[in-house]
Amino acid sequence: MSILRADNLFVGYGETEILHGVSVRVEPGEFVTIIGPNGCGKSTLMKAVFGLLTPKQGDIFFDDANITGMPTDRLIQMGMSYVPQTDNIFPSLTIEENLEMGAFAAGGAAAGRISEMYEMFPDLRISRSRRAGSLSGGQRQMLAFGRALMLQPRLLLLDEPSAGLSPIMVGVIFDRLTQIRESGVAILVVEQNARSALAMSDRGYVLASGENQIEGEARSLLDNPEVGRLYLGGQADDGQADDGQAGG
Amino acid sequence: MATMQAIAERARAAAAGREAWWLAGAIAIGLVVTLAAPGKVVNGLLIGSVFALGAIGITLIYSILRFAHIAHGEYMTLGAYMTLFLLTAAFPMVGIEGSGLGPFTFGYPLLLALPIAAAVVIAFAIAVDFAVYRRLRARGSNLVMMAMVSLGVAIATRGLLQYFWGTDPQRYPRVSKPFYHFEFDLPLAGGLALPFDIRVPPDNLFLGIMTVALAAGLWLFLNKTRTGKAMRATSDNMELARVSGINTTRIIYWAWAIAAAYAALAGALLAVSQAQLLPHSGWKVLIPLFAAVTLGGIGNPWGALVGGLIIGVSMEASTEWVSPAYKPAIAFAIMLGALLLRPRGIFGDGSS
Repeated sequence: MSILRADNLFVGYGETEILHGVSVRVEPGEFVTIIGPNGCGKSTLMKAVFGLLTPKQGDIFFDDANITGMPTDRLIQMGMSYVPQTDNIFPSLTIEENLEMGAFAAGGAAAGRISEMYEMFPDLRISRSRRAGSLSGGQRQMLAFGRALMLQPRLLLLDEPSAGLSPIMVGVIFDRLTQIRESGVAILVVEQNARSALAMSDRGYVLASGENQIEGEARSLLDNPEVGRLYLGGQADDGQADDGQAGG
Repeated sequence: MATMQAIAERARAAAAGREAWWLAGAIAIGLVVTLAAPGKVVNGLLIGSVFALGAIGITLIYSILRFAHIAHGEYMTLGAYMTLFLLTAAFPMVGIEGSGLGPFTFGYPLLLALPIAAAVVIAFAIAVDFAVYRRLRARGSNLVMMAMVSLGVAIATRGLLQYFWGTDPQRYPRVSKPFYHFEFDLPLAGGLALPFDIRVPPDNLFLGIMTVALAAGLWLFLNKTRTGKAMRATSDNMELARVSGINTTRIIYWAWAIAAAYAALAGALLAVSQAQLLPHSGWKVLIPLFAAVTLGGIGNPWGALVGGLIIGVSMEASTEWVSPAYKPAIAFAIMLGALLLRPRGIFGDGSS
């Protein structure tokens, strides 16, 4: 049973249709990467899965329950969590308050879970009462992960987690993702750093022009000469923080 | 990266230096004004606290909904007229009457009337949002459209008040009371003792105490409660708040409730302080309110508080030198100055 299954999604903003029949699935505990050129609809797909955009057509299932058009707070309670690409922390709140907001949907106190997050991201403990806006790019991303993990989701959706980070930070972030995945959380990630992301994934999808192009085992995508030429070619020096701002 | 950080660091240092000069200048002006007209400064602080209560509401609504709520003055007036209705019509029917509580001109019924009037204005504000602003939000209207519509709400609300209470000045039941006397003997350099003989209407002291209590309450709400923190989160980033599972619609209604309650109290207290009430009482303080909001940094409640006090003091102190008729002009001049010299306001961080 897949933890997430999106079937034949048609999604757009107003009159403009971005996705023309995209299907993805994620198995429990699986790490799945979606790659593709800028503007191919990767971020749109994430937003549709997380209920921020309503598909015009197609269905989304979480644990075989149809969640199409379901409000976001319900999805969070069901065990899904999402980290947007930019603006993914509350800058005027403290680190600790940011983490508290991650547990908002559960209602109750989250003190125990917050200290677990501090164990996973020790940097955050040090600056727990500082305003999140004062954090560096890498620390912000850690905090964004922490916020999203507060309610122990079973599926984590990540939109370009490495965008705008220094090469060293990208490595650190990917290490964290591996760690999160080892704790049993299924991950669906959209990435510009396609080669590095695929290297730690189980499976991958290539999205272009709002349609599925290629899908398969991550290894086979990395070895696929067509994928390499079209989508990994410009990414030879993965470490370079590329123009992630325009993604999706 | 390193050079970027160095440049940012230097820019911050330069800005900090400039800010030190601004602060020094402001303190110098404040000292001169205080020495020239100490009594007016004290009264200005107390009257400014009413502006602060109104401005807090405007800034709170801006921080969540991102538009300038022009009708806020009328929400104040509505609160003042509801208080009038309770004091002069509803309460006497059940035998609640009285004035001259302690040193104040009003009686204990005012203390009962304030929370009821606040509740009525909260209900009104939420009803207006439900009927008007919510529909515009759903349609994705821009902030100019929202502000213009709120101007319409202002005019309609004032019309409603005139329909029920007419355009004649009204007043709360009151008895005249002597001014409070503060006497300070401040020893200055050279052994010179300069006596200040400050007279304050007791009612104005009540305004000050109410404002301190309400500001403290707001601070506790925003920093210590789950809903308050969620409100700050929503103000930071509504989309991320929604992604975190915060019910942002509920937060919007909370913001209206606080803004409306504070407006109602500000309106009633203004009527107490001015000893009369007109349908355009709230409209007339709109410029000081927006001056306070702009000066403090729009979206920041503490900025609105400090801005309100500065505007109140400036307007009162100015009467030492110019005709009281220029009071609104003083507020307007400060607002213009703030927009030209420091558009993000005293406490603004430039993000909004």
